[in-house]
Amino acid sequence: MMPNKVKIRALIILMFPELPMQDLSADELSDQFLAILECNFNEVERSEIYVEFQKLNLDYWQIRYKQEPQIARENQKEFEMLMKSKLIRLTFPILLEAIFTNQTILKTLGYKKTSTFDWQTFRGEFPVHKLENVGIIE
Amino acid sequence: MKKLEPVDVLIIGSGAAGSAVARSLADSKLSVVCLEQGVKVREEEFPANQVNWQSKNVRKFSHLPTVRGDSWFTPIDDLESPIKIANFYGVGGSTILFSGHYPRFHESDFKTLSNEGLGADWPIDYNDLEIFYEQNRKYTPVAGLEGDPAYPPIKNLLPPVPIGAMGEVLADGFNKLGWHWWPSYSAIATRKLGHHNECLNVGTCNLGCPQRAKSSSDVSYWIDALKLGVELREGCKAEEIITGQGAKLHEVIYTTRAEGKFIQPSSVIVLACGGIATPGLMLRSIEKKPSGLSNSSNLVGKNLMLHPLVYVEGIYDTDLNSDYGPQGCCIASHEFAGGQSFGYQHRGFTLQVVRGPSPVTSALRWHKRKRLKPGTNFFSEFKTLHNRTAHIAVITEDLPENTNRVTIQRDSAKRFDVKYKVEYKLNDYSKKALSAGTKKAKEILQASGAKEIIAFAPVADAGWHIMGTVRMGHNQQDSVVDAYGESHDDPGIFVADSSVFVTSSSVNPTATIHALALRCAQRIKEKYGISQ
Repeated sequence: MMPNKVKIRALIILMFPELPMQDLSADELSDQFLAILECNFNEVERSEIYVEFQKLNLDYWQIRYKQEPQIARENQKEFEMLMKSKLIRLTFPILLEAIFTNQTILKTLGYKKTSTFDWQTFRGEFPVHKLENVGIIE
Repeated sequence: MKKLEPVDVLIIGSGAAGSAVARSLADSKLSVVCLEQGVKVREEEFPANQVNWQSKNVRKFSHLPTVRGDSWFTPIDDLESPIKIANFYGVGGSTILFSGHYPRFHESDFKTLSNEGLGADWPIDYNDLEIFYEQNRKYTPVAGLEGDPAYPPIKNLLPPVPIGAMGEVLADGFNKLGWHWWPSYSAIATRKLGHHNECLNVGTCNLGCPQRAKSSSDVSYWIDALKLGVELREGCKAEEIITGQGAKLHEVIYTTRAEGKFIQPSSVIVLACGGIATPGLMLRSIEKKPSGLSNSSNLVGKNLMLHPLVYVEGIYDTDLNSDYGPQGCCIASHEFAGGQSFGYQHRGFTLQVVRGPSPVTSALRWHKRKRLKPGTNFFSEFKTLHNRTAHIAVITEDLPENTNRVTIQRDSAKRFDVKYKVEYKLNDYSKKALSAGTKKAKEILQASGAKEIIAFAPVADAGWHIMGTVRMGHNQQDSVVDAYGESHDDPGIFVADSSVFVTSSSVNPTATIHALALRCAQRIKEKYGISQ
């Protein structure tokens, strides 16, 4: 069963609490996550990820991390174990890709590079270097 | 199997070599057909044009055939090699994903045995190839800077690719040590030229260039070759070559995904499938030759060279914008190339400064190194690492050895069911070169202000430069093909790709592949056709 957006959002918050999720387009992020999953992973791999999503109570973790950070920190061992889980291992690259292709988040993080190229945006940003110090073999 | 009408020249493979041969022969009156086992990748399909461009490179556009895993293509077993085979199947071949770093061989690279008692001499020298290096630039835009003391004069280059903040920092390190550095020779159009648009320095070259700035062969050569009448058959996998005798034509048996097998007769056959599949195809062509096509020397598949690589990375306190710009093209040093002594005789290495990885690749890499983990400070820690790195790839010159080789594994009951097996070991010579290269690269990074340095050798998934498996030479005793790539045993059978390399130099091979292929095509026109 495909994970719903709440679960994906919870996972993102858990893994990347620095992201200001309240205002960012979590829907868009989740859509990207699912699109990348669909595009780059075969049916068997996707099923495995879905099963792993079902196993974990991410809503529980979302609440603890966002609302009770002190408790979450105190239960660092439990958190570390979760971070080593199969779900995290399987989804980490996909989540990163979703994050680094989300325009709003890119802006928040201060990155100029985008995934869908607006070629005109980049034109002229990189003038040819003057090469004043070209080295010479003696 | 359906037998087709004969043609004058049949090229197998549409990559760097096959495309250059096709374009050159298009100027003749010869009828030319090219078989390509992959298909044309449309520009809109390039990962760089899509939202999830970064993860695409770990799947369909991976440079590792074992990762792409399409069972249509002949499997490559490289488990017995510390360096994994890298390539791409499609119109333009591996140039679709190559970085565009495009130096020529040095003058000394062709006479290593005479000069240093190492390796073997080529039957040709730099002067023989120079006219074809130049001819190639009619089709392939090359950016760089005149005056490089590492080479005889190379003129009329396009302006060099911007070296960026990272390049400046490392150039400063080279200057402090008094070592040669020069802007990269780059197969990248820094100005609009021919079918190529101007590079915008976005830096996704290694996933295909949707801007059409990189000189991949699908653009540089194929657009014109097709216009001039060369027929390109996509999705056609060559399975076997049957040599003609007397007045009989050579024949190639090939398979398509949908329509089964065909036999294509041809006066001349040009193998241009790269350093694995070219010898592989020759070794599997046993109908008339039990040891394989043109293999009286017993050298087909042997002398495999892969350019063992060191990757040295420095971490800096300042933002170097290191993931901007063409990844493989920045600056390079030939200070230690072409005959060196590091307490032992060695052919040396080049130092190629390369840009940093994309954000996702960078994050995954740091995660793997246990320097970055999901949780509270992920992005703030990421910012202290990403774009603050500078990188040097040390390309060492490995020497030809009989024991490093490509063989085939075949189920005797299934004629066309074949696997290519790669056996390659690093010898002491290569290990010493890797060690010396690592030391020098670290010195540069230290001189340029790196606060931390990490080195990896050999880089496992970097077997791009596949050379030497169908060596050229003067006679049948020590080579498979002659100085033009034509088989000693079977006239009319040519090899045009990097398989014919005698030694490997310590530079990226594509410029030399193009030059050799054009020289091969010129020979075919002179010997077998009428050049217009």
